[in-house]
Amino acid sequence: MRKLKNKVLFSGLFIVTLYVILLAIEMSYVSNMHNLCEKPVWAQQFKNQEFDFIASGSSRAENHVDVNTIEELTGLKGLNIAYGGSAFSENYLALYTFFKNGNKARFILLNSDEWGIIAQNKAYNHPFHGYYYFNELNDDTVGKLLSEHYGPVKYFVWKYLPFVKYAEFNSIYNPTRIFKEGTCRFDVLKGTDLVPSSAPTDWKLGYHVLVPDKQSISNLNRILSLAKNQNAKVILFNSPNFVEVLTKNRIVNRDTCVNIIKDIAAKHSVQYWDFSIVEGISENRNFFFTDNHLNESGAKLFSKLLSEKIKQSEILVSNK
Amino acid sequence: MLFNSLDFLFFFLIVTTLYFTLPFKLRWFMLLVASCIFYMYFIPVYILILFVTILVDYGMGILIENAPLQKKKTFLVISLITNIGFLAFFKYCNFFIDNINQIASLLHWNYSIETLGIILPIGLSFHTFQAMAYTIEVYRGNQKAERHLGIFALYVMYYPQLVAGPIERPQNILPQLRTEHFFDYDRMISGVRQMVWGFFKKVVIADRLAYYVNFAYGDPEHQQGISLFIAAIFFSFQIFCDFSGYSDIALGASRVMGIELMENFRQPYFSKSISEFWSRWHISLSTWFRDYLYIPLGGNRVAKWKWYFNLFLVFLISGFWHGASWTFIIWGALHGFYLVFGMMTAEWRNKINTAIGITKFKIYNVLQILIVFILVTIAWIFFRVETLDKGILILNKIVTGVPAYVYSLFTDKSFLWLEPLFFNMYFPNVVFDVIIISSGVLLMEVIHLLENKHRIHQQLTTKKRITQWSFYLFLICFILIGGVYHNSSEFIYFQF
Repeated sequence: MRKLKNKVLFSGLFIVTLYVILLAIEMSYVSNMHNLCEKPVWAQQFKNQEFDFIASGSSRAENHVDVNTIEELTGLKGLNIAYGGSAFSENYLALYTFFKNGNKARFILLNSDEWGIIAQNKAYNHPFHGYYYFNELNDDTVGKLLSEHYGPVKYFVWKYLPFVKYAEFNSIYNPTRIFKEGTCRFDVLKGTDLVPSSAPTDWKLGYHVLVPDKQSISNLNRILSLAKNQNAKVILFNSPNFVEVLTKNRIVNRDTCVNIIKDIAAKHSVQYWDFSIVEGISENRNFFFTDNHLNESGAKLFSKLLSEKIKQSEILVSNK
Repeated sequence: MLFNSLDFLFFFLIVTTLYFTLPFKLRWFMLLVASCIFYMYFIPVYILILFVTILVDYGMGILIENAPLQKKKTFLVISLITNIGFLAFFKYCNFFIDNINQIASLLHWNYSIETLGIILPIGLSFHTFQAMAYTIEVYRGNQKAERHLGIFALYVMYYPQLVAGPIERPQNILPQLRTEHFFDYDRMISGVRQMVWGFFKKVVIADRLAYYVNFAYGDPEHQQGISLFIAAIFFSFQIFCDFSGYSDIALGASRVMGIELMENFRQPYFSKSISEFWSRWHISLSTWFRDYLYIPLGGNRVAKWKWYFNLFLVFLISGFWHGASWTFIIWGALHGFYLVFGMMTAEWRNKINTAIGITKFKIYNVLQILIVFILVTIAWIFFRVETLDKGILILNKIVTGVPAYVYSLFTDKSFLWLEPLFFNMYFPNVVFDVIIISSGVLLMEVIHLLENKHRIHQQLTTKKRITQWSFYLFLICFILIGGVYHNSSEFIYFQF
């Protein structure tokens, strides 16, 4: 009996030792997280800062909103926290943590196009990057979102077992990336990711049938409520597409989706700026690197237009 | 349910806890329900196939035992037809339809049959063979017919080995299912250790190698010969780690409950001949074929040509057992050929080797191991590809591409020659993958060398506790840091 007691005791000690080792590995990962140079992790490093505007949304905001151009033309201070493949649920997480870290913004430029209104797993190949918010697992709001997405069992395991969460996503969180300074694709000061390349000569235009999704709509509403609570105005915007994508019925049901966004904008009394077809940009494929992504020159041109619109807008006056 | 999933971890904890807390008379029932849940995680409705097989084999077992000698065979045949019938319908029907259609097209007949839209029930070949082993053993008088339907059902459905073996014999499992096992700390630790070792092989080595293997085999047309050569070697390790990893988890999970399953692998890549390889690889299947096909065909107590024919036939059927495709048949045929050719030439090969004196040197053993590994790797190419054309293309590219690549090493002064070794740097985490794969395989092979007499978890029990602890702490951390969890894959042998 005594022998068994000792064995059980030693097993307990083994588990405690393992726990401590995993905790130590997790702590070393967390303290070197900045090396990853992943946009959502980078965005979380800003604390107690004030901005005039922030750009949020998917790659169509990350690649299109050039903060430097807007700052230069408007004199406003901005930050681009948008990143590729992020739907409204994730935009909410990004904005929530941004404000939670004590940051302030007078207004938010939120990329809201037809893709945001459909189910996120239909719009993006890798639709939910909740693993970028593991350091906020103990936060109720973040925890609830992650639990909704990944399931309560997984959330429970991640919350109470150290390091397991990072192990599961070790294609991102692996020692060769964590302990070595990575190269950032985006501008590390402002967050914009300008893509210099042009569209390939043999590009293929997509064909899509869009179906509005309740959850995505509810996530957009959630963002607007969050912004209201933070006293930040919101501008919903749709950025330029290559003209043929929209004119040749390649996106079925697009109008329905855009109208939903317009209705939500009206309901929350926020502005909706539609740049989906812009003369001088949309018909010129040299401004694109895919049929709905602007390259560097396209993005700079678009940001100029955006700056003019901001200057003309009442948003700056009313928010001061 | 996948062994490498969080669901299985909870499932295992719950089932094991219930097993030791429930009264003995209820344990079989709990295990049976657990096994049903385990199976139904895949395609629930297919459990009906298992139920029918169980009912037929249970009934036939009793009938065979009670029947007079001349009628025993009839009941055995009914049982075999039922089992093979399910296998034929679900696994081979579309293969035959496809071939008939192709022959018709070759002969310009206006004849075509639609293939059936059926999905192969998971592990069908495994539990069918296990059920067949039972009725054959009852027929031979080596096993008494099981009267308890629940225990018999558990024999067929016992969850650790239900979907990918080991293919058990009734003499080993049935008595254990009827024995009351008490909780044994040392046995539990031994079982968990074997499971950890299995997880290491599966999630660290097999699943990481899978990235590269899938990439190269998915598009061999655009790969260089050297990349395909590496992918072929990777697949040899992947399939070993995948399948033996599964077996380790199955054996370990079962041992925790006190039920010992048969060993399925004994370092097969250290074999010095193809026949030795088959006594070390998928042992439960090779012994099944030996006991229920090779020996009934006459074994080696027939004329030499018949013996060779029997061996070749067994391997051909073994290939077909693995999958309804010509690629698997070629794989089986290659092994049959290796074996028969090896036997036919053994005498004069020995004479030559002795004459040149190479057998005195240790390098001779290494050479033998290397040759067997290369032969097995060539056969694995056909096991892995979807079509024969792809297999031939890969083989062709390797044969022509590798020498050209080696030649380029002497002429190319830049470091561009490194790129095809790393699949032209297609993978973003290639450095991490290389570190994990090379250290993982190295660790595994060192352990295999140490495992000459005893399994590593048995050897470690004789070492100081701190040594045991350090090894398993290291292994667990290695599994966590280097394992593949996101989009983790099924076990390769599930498809059979």
